[in-house]
Amino acid sequence: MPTSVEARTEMTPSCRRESAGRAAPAARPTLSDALARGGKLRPWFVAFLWILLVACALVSVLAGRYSISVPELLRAFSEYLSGGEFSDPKSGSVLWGVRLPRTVLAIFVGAGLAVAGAAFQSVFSNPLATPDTLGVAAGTSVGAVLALLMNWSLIGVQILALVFGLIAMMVTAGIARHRGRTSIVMLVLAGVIVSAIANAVISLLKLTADPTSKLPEITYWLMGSMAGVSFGSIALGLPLIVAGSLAIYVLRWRLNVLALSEDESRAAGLNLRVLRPAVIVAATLVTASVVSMCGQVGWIGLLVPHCARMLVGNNNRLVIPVSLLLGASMMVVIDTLARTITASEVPISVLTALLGAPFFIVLLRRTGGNWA
Amino acid sequence: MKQTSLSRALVGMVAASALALSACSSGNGSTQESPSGAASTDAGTSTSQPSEQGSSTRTITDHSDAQVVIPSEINNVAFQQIPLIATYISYFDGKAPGIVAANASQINMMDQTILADIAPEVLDVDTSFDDQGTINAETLLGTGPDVVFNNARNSEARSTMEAVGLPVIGFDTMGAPTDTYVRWFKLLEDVFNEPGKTDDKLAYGQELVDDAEERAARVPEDQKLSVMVVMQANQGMLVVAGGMDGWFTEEWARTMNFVNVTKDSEEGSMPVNLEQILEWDPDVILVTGVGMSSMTAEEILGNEVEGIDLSSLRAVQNGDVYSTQLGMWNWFTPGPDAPVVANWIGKTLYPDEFADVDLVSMTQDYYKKMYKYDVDEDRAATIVDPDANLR
Repeated sequence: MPTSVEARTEMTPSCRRESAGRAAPAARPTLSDALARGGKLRPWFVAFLWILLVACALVSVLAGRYSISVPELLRAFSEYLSGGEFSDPKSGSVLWGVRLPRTVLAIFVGAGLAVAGAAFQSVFSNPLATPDTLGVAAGTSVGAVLALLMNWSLIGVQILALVFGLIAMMVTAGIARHRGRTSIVMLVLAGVIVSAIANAVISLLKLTADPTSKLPEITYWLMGSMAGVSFGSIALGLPLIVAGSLAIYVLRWRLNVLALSEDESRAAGLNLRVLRPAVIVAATLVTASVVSMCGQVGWIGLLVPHCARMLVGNNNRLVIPVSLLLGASMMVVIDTLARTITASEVPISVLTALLGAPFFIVLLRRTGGNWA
Repeated sequence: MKQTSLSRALVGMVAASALALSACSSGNGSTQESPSGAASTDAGTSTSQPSEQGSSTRTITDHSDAQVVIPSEINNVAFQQIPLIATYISYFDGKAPGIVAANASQINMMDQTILADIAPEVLDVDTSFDDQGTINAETLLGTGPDVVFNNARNSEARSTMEAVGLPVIGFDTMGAPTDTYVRWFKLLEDVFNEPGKTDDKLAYGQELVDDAEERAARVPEDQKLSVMVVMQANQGMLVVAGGMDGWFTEEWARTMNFVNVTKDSEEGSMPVNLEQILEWDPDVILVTGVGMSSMTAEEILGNEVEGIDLSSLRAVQNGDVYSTQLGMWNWFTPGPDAPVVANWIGKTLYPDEFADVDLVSMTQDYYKKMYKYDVDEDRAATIVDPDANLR
């Protein structure tokens, strides 16, 4: 079954148009052929992606503004596991209060956002779709800003943000639903509308915030940061990220079909009325949960899936796992930089744009944009 | 061209009617004193310049080096984003004559200061022109100020207010707080054309500053303490005062002989995570406290800041965490209390060198001299150490 679907994807009208319109460079098929064959990633490439992630995570745990030697780090690690007191409380709190939770969170946030972005791009057949296309990130931010204004605790902020993200999703779906049917165009437009309203509400709330204390807090939250994370807040947000990403991963080969026109998808024998909402809801849950935990993290959801496509081609069966691992590695690197390059924390969205955009330009120039 | 002159005429008409309206409204009920009631007698003697209306205007130079044409007689003033009210009240010996408008955040900050006791009427000043950090210049014009005081570096606000024809006088906030208040007093003397009015106060202040700096300078280089100034908590980080040149933290460090942990940064404030704070592990933590932020030493000493475990810090373990005080104004920022603040910082960091300095009686004497206000001993003690119960 999967093979027949992939065979169809290879033959989509858009692909044919593209190859007819441009002289496809010979290099492109070679790269994806080198990394994947017969609809499967080559084992060495999978191993490479895992090693990359583990290496990034290790560097992340080892790097920081506070200098701890590797033996000290290992001691703090084992002391915690054996339940004893830390012989050096500083190393202990750096490792367990800052580095480990942030590394773990970055892995899941990066993986989740990249997978959600890839899913949205497929479902909407639009390379510009991002996890925020349906207005969820903006909606989630409204909840967070409200909670910050009301002086709630960090967990309270996260919960209210999540609730507002889910409300935003329902509002978007409600606007888009017309006579029992929801078209993609309606959904995207509804997302734009909800996003606009949510952003206006955020601006209004910022206007009422105390400019000396509350406003900087809100501004900083909106720019994204993992500094406030604890294992408790990770435990609260992780289930949704894992469940959503897992659902997309399981449905990954069907995403190829969702990218086709509705008639073609139906002809492929898929129940669009179930499948499409399922993917959208899964990607939305991931986005809402991520934003509720660490604010708006731009670019990952757009950049990483495109990188994955450049590497392995358009087949979502391959794009999804590659995005997942690449996204996790990239987020870990970015968060490590956020907390190490200067004495003050650099907001994540600043780094994702400053580092991600030039990287993206290089890739675009190299491939001529031929992967999409 | 035609349109420009037309719009000028329209603006002129609006401005004139607004002024007329405000004149009416201030006429009924408010019988506030005018700041230059006494000053008007010697107006025109020094810097007044001939203009079309004779000597009814003068030109002064403010801290942004702008030449500002102001009325010779100033009855009403407004404050925009410059914490100058305390200095203004000291200038007028504990009174607050003719304040017609001020930005809301400044008035809110006054709430728990002693300023609110000395001149409670200031709490009711009209803040409608700048409730949330953006200026409505026409509303400000409607309150009828003769001059507006603002931050010399805020040129955007300045042009907004000048566009409606208001004379704007910029006061500089950068530099050592012990110099800043002196320059503020001097510029106020210029504005009200009363040269030398604050000489006595300044001489008294300078004496306290010189003594404090001399004592602090005795501390040898290798015994200088490292200090981190916390402004706020923010999502598992502390926002600490940066080491930007001329910023109050760096200037206090220079004059009072301590090491500011953020000395290498170029920022005014910076969010930092636990790792960075542990790397600095300062000897003393100063918290900017009520009036500037909502944070106090209590939260840090009790390790109550959410999302960040400060318990392993040396300063926390030793109890060396202090809120900078709230006297006439928040003590860490520029203000007329700066000479007492210098002594407070000295006594907090280097108690041995300041053993014979009695901050409570110094505060009482100083307030008497500067604001003509009697502070009782208990109040003065609270001003000096609001967290006394924590240690």
